[in-house]
Order: sequence, then C-alpha cells, then structure tokens
Amino acid sequence: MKRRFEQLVDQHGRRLLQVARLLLGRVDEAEDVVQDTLVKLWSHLRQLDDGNELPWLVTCTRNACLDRLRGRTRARLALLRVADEHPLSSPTGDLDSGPADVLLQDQRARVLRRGIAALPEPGRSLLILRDIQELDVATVARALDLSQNQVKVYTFRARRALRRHLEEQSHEQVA
Amino acid sequence: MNKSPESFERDLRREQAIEQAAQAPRDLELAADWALKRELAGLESDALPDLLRRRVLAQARAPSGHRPVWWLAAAAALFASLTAVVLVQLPVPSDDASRMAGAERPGALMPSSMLEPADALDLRLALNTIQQTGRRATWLAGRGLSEHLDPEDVDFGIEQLPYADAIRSVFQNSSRDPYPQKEPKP
Repeated sequence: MKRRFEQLVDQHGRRLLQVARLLLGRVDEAEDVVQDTLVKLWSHLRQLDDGNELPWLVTCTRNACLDRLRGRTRARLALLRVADEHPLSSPTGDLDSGPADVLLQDQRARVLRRGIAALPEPGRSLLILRDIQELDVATVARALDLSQNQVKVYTFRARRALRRHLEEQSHEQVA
Repeated sequence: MNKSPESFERDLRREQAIEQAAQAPRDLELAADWALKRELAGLESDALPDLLRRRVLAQARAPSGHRPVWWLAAAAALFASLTAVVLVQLPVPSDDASRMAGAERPGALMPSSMLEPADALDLRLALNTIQQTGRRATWLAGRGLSEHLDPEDVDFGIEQLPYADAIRSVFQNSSRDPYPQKEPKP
C-alpha cells in the first residue's frame, strides 16, 4: 500500500498543486491544501478502487480550495491578488528563449491565471482540469459530479468567458 | 450556466468541434477559442516541492499510521490466548505460599494488636470456655481412673500434658472432692 501511495503522490501531486495554485492564487496555501489532500488519501486509500484515485483527489483538492476561498474576506482577496503578481512567476523558463520572451511569457501566464481566478465555479475548475491539465472528460465529470455533456458545455462557456475577459483587458490597456 | 436546451446543444457541438480540430477552425470565434485552449494547455506547472513530498510520504512511514482494525483485533486475541495458556500452566501455590499470600489480603489473619477491644473480649471468652470444658473433662476422667490406679504409678510425664495441674489435683485429692470451679493459681 505504501508503494501505491508513493506512486500516486508522484503521479498526481504536481497536478493537484497546480489546481490548488490556480484556484487559490497562492503557493503557500496551495501547498497546504495539497498536503492535507494527500494525507487524506493515505487514510482513504483502502477504500479507493484503482482508477478512482484521480477524481477523488481532484474533488478533495477543489473542495478544500473552495472552502478556503469562501473564508477569505473581500479585502483580503484583493490583497492576495496584488501579491499574486510576483510570487507566481514560474522558475522554469525556456532556456532557449531570450529574456524578453521569457518576460512576455510570464506576463501572459499571469494574465491568464488572473483571468481564470476571476471566473465563477465550476467554469474555473473546468478550465484548469480540462484545458490546462488536459484531463479526460470522464475523469473531470466524476470529480465535479457533472455529466460528460455538462463538462463539455460548461468548459466551452468558461473558455469563451475567459476570452472575453482577456479581450476587454486588452482593449482597456490600449485605450 | 442556466441556459436554454437549444443553447446547450449548440455549445456542445462547438466544444466537440474544438476538441476534434487538429487545426484552427475556419469560424473565427471558434478559432479564437481553439487557440486559447492550446495556450492554456501550454501553461507550465511547478513540480511538487521535495519538502512537501517528503512530509506527505512520512505520514505513510509513521509507525502510528493507518492500520486496519482487523490487525489490532488479531493482536489482542493472540495476547489474550497466550495469557490464558500461561496462567493455566502455572503450578498450584503451596499452603505456606497461600498462607503468606492470604496474610496480604484484607480480612485474613490479623495481629492481635490490630484487634478491636470488643473482638478481643469475645476471643478471650471463647478461649476460657474451651479451657473450662477441657478441665472438666480431664477431672471427670481422672476421677474414674483414680479408683483403679495408684497415684504413684500415674506419674508418666504428666507435666507435659495439657491441664496438668487439674490432673494432678485429681490424683492428689479424694475422688469425692468436688470439681474445682476456680482456676488454679499458676
């Protein structure tokens, strides 16, 4: 059982951390959530059938993130978004790109993350799971307790809402 | 998200078109959606920090970690069985050992200093009763024997017998002497 647990941690830990980070916008809180989720996985591992671990992990991580988000006050949320500008820069840049390209990529990534964070649920989670992490429809449907058609439609609408949001921001900057 | 069934079906077809498209669709709106989807897929994710990984895996390695209930139940049953077997095979304690053990128990034999005054009086009365009865029995037996035996021949270690003074007085006095009601002086 320990080997199975280690495999699951190595297989999905990174994915869970990204989900939590995108939902919460903070690395430290995201790590706390992922740690709690993986500890819960250890205590529930016997009850989980093979193949059901990832939906269970995603559900657990997402619920923990949403609980934390509900607990934040509006003022605190605003402060975190400001702080989000700096610590979220990816340490793994493309070494072949020049510094200007890396900077532009980082800026674009931050814009995308902020845009995703501004989306309502479940669209935000759907974009993270379907488009960023490219999980299959069935897994996402199980994790979010939706039908597969709902996953597809809601993902489409969330993506289009994000695109509208990005276009509006772009127009504001030009103006 | 709550829209008409028609819009649901329309959006479902659009999403399926985006999923299946290897290249950007000709529809400009769908092409922009398709491009955004590809861009989102290119967002890099950080690796799981090593410290976090080690903390999580330590939970699984901890000795107080998750253990199935049946394992604990089996361990308890085995311990109980071993205890029962050992107790059954222990030798029965001897009388001395029992007495020593009994002396440890409350309510067993107690030193006289621990007797209550009332209990001491009751005990003394009981002992005196036994002594008087014994003296009377001895006196009756001696009177019967004195009629047939010479007192000189009766000296067969009488001092070592219980109630020796009573026996002696029987042989020294007349058989018609009444039974002495008072205890002889020591």
